[in-house]
Amino acid sequence: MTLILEVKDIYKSFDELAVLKGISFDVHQGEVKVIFGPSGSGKSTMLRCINMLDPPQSGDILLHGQSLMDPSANLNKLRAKIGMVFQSFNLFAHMKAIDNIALGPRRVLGLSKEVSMEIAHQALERVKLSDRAHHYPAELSGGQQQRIGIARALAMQPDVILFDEPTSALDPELIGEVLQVMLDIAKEGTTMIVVTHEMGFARAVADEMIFMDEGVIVERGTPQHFFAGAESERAQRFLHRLEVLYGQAEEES
Amino acid sequence: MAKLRRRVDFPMELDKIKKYLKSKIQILKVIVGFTALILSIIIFPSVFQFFNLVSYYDKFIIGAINTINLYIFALVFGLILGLTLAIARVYGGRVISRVATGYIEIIRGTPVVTQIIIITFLPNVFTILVAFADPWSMRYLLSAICLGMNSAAYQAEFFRGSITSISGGQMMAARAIGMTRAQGIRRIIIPQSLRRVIPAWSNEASYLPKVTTAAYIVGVAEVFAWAKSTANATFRTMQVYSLVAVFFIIVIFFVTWFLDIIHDYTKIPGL
Repeated sequence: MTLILEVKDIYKSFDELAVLKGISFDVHQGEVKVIFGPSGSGKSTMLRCINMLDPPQSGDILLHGQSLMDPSANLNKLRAKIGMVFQSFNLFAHMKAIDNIALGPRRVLGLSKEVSMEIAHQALERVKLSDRAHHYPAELSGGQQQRIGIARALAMQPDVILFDEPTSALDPELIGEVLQVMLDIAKEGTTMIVVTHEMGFARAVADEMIFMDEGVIVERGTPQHFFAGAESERAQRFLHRLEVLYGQAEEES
Repeated sequence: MAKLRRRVDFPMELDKIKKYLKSKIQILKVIVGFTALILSIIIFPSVFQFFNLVSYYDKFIIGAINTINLYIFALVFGLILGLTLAIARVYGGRVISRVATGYIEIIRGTPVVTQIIIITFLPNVFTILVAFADPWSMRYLLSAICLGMNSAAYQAEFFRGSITSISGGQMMAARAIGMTRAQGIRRIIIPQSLRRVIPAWSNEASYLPKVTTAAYIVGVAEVFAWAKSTANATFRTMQVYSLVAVFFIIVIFFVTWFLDIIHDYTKIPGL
């Protein structure tokens, strides 16, 4: 397996508040990493560090061995290789779904109009929204918007896609359609780093799960490892709380 | 703006357009009626004496054309410079944003009459420029530029408001697919904020025609200059200035109507 992304000991703080205190992990080709943990544990910050939307103070991030922290690195070029899907979708509000998707191939990859439209149509098909190509984001449901968001990332043919709690802003009945699309693209071999609390998704496709708390990786392992019983007390407590929330366990006093 | 050209599906059908026109005509009727009422109360005894001004009407037309020229030039000049200032203020570095802010504060903090006098009587500029044209057209041009520079400061603040009202997630998403900051501003932020600014910006568009009257201070032959000379010659002060008022209200009515149409036309579906 080829190594795609290396995260090496990154530190990030906002003023006095240290959010990430030395995070390291590797991502290989075709791997799905699920990152979970309590809110405020630095998961979203970590994703934004990986594509340098919010650069870390120290440590290193390597994409195919090329450092993103290197001051001479062409960040725009490297970012084009790292897809991102946001919790709040962030579709370009003034553009039709198809134009949202075609924008990257057209303006960043510099492809012709016809080719980028073709790519956009293929990406739309992968998220099963071909019939919504000419709708504006505000005319779509949350689930549809998020699938367009995923298609927008896919159209760039990135090496890895980062998902920042993609289903957290959705109504329960819309989560399913988004997770289905994510399952599909994961099975097609897309390399993904997913911040989510959807344990069903993690169980189905995660190669490795990483539990973060207070800016450090507390525990990591396969889904089997976590669902058979996490080692650390914090991970146990968090998983138990999730189970209670989703009705899979009785609350103990 | 490129979007405007490309979109062919005009969002209104024929009966909708009729309905829309009807509502506009009703507004126009209210304005005309109100104007007539005011005028008749003020000048009822001499309402027909408007005809006494007939021999001055050709000069009035020249004045009106000059006013409209000043207005359109200043509005477009202000639009371009104002948008640039707003982008500089929001996205410029420490120095650039402070320069833009300084410009805006100086212009907004000083009277437009002073600005016009300073610009048109700047001796050095004037003597250089005067080599290319006669002094009067030079004053005309310089006061148009000055009005544009003045309007730019006010427009910049409208634009800044609409730029900062666009959610940060839009720029983040643009950067995340590998766009540069300039691309994000040009393709994502500006198209959205231009749509959003129209209702607020129509304030400036309807205020500016009246600001152009300041050009009469340096002798530009616009409507106020006509009004003053005609009032002096005929002593029909009330009629003269009422006519100027009617002229402005008609111009501004059509400007705001036009902006309403653009606002509807460029509206993002679903929002």
